[in-house]
Amino acid sequence: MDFNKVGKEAQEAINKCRDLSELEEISRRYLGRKGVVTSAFQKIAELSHQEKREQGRQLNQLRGKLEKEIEQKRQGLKDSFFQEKSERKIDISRPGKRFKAGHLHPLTQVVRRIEDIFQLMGFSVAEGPELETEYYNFDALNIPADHPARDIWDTFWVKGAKKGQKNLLRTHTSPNQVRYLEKNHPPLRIIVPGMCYRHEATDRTHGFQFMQVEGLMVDREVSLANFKAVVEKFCQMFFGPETEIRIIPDYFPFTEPSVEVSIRDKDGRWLEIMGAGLVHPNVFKSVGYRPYEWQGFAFGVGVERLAMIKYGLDDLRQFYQGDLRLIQQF
Amino acid sequence: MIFDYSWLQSFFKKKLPTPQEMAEVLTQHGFETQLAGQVFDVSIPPSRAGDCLSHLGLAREIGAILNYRLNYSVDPKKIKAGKTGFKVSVVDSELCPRYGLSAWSGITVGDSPAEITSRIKAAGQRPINAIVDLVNYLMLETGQPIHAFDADKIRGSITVRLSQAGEVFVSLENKKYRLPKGLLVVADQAGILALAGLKGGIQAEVTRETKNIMVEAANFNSRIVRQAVKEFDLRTEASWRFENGLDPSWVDFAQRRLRDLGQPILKPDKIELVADIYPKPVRDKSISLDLTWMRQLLGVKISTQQTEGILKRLGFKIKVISSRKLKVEVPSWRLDIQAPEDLVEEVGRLYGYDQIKSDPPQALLIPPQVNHARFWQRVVEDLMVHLGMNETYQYSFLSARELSLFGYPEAQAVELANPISARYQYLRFSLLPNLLKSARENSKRFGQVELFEIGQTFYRPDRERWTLAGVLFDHQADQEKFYELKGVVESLIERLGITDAWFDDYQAEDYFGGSKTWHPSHRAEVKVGSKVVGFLGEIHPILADRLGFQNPVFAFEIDLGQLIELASEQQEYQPISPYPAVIRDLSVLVPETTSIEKVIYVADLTGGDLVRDVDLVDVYQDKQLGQGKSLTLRVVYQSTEKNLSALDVNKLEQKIIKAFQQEGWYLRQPDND
Repeated sequence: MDFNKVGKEAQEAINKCRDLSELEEISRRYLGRKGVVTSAFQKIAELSHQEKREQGRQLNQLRGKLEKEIEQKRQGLKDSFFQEKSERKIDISRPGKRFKAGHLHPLTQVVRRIEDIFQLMGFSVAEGPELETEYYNFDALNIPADHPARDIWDTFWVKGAKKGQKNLLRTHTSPNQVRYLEKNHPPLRIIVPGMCYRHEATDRTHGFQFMQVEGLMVDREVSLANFKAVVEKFCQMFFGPETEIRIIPDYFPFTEPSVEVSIRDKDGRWLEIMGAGLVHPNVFKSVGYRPYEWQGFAFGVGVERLAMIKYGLDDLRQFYQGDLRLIQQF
Repeated sequence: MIFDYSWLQSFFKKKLPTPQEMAEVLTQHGFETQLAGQVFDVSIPPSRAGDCLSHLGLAREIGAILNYRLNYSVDPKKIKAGKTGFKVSVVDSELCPRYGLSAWSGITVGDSPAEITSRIKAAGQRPINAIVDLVNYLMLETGQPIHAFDADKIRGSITVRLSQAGEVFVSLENKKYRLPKGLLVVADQAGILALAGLKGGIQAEVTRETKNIMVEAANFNSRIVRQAVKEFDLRTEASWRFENGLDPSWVDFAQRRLRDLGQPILKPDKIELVADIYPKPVRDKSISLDLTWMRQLLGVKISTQQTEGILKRLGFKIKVISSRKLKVEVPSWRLDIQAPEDLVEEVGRLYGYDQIKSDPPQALLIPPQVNHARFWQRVVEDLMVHLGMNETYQYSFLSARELSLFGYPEAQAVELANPISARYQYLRFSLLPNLLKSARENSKRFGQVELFEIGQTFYRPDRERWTLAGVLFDHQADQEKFYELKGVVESLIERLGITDAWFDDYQAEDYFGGSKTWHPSHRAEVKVGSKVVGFLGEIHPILADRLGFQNPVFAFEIDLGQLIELASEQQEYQPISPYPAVIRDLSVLVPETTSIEKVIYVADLTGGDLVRDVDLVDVYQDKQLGQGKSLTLRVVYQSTEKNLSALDVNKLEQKIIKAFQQEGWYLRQPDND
């Protein structure tokens, strides 16, 4: 067998080869089980010792060379194949395939954000019942029966009374100031989110059902300036770092002084977002604290209001219509 | 209350800022003001209704804010007591702390001068005649309601007393009121002349023919006036002022002011004081104010001088006790000032909250407590969203019709005493009625609707249940949807780490499942241990039809409070076996009534530790199978200790097959295709 000739032929075949399957065919032809080179190895068994050594060496050389050449060619063919393939462009403008996922209600997203921000400032999240007693909703908050201030909160009363105790749907989350103070010792910082109800006509900005978040901080010394710092931080984290706030007087029986907090919108108008103030000593008194021993601030923020400002909605009732066309935008 | 800009201006020599500026100034100082041309609509806070429901009151406040001097005075000369012989008595001085009456005789009733009619018109009232206009004007100016009786129509003496049950009062509008026992009335010997602080009667009505009047300026207790307001659901200009409590010193002041104002208009022959019954004069109140405490509360260093200045402008009288203590005497009209914190507000309010700089509180660095329920609520909400459900909030109310439609017992539902309308008469017993309504609306626009809600439901006696509910609707739905629904609930249970939850046949008992809510044979209970925590299934076809669904609709409702109590964050890590798993399918024919859960359970139990998992991969039902169903189970065999040989697996498989046979279930040969 002429090794040179075989080697040359094989080399030519490899050089000419244009695709992988042809290359594998060449590989089989020379190096396969019945291939030219493999058969030659079988034949040298019949030769003399001397020839065996000589031809064996040459055959090994040839096999090694072919293996190397084929492998090189293989890599080359693969590379150009992938290169060619990579040049085919896909249409990236075609819409992506969407996976089905639901949506969290915007009010939930707003409440979560409020909770997260206040938790960063050390406020714990507490809860209280929606079906409240007259005591917690009014009396304990320095709003005795027959007090004209009760008219601020048009109330849904529940039918039937037990032992003169009337139940109602809470008109605000403030009863939880009292509930929490009764069971915990200051210093403390809490927020209480929850649904509230008022017996009033609904319009774009008023609902008979709405969500509020109550806030309360109690310590030995808590000032209005402290409240201002906390609420400013909150507003900047919620609405953006440039947010401006304004604090003006307001009236609530359970805070003294009482204030109203507004933020400035794009058009320079002030939008009211919460009522607040320093906890009235009578509230501390009704939970059995010695008056003037503790101080605190409290606030109540309307969740729908924040959501409307944040997302640019103009009708509060939309939040309660369960319309997927709205919810799926959030 | 409506205020007239030029009327307010009349209290000052100095020119007031423009109406726009005034509205802004008032708003910034606690009096939210809307401007309409030359009049303001001001919401007077309840705490200030006692002294600011009048032009004088608001002018006083404006003077304090702007530091303007009030140019207003009333002749201090007392009205002389006459010898009229007319008797006045007050039965309860608690309910009527002060009662003043003067007699004007020989008056002429004509039209009011233009200044008076134009001002009362600007303030929103209709001119009637010179007497009525005058008393209305006086109230709008001073805040003290005044009533004028035709003296010739009063029979005998006047008594301020409590009503007897069944007494009749006829108002100026000729409306009859039957009184209960215990309302405060002004009466003569024949009957009731007025509901104290609320309304005058027709009996002693003044007209253009009136010659002699009795003018009443009184101080009625706010509670008793409110009682009458509530009794008749009637609020008048007078009651609005009395309800908030008024300064008793105004009784005398208003009589004198009326004399100044009325003399040239009504031209009486004489004005005599008939009575001024004031047995317990209110004493001046003084409060001691700790300036250090005040500065600390406001968080700003307001000087003693500034503090004094502000309080003086508001009419308080100051005595300096020490460098840190003031004795503050409260003007008689400021009934709202009771304690030092009220003074702090006054100082802060006029100093301006915008002048107070933010000062972050110093507090112990205590991390917030983790709220277990809130934590898991987020987990549940996120899971629902991942499963493709959309969150909604619905109103918490239901109608009686909805209760009966769903089969919720009316006796167990919480009813409102004063609902907005019959549609919202009950508190929701379940989340489903409103959620389904919402699903129905959405189904008009969407092929598939998947909604959920987390909220409170309510039941007697006035209890709440924290509830999760979901609704699945598909225009192409078939029975398979039930299992999609069940999959949602299973994912929930798994996510909460609850291991002993299971599904049981529905048994009608008195928990929160409505008796007409669920499809009688496509419903189940969700149980944890032996406790029912919820329901799932197809909505009853009759109900679905009533609600307007044209295709089956599926729902679940779960007591989230109970479920979350059982939730656990602890996930135990199961080591991954280094040995390969062997997977084999078994097809078994079982009676139609046999629960699939039981078949899986038998396979799992029989296989023991070496069976890692048994899954249902197919259910096949066909007429050829008669009353049975064919289940294909995928059994995963794996050991954590060794390679399982084919022989090991065969043995286990035979064991399972034998166990199946003992139950009367036989293998089907898997089809070859």
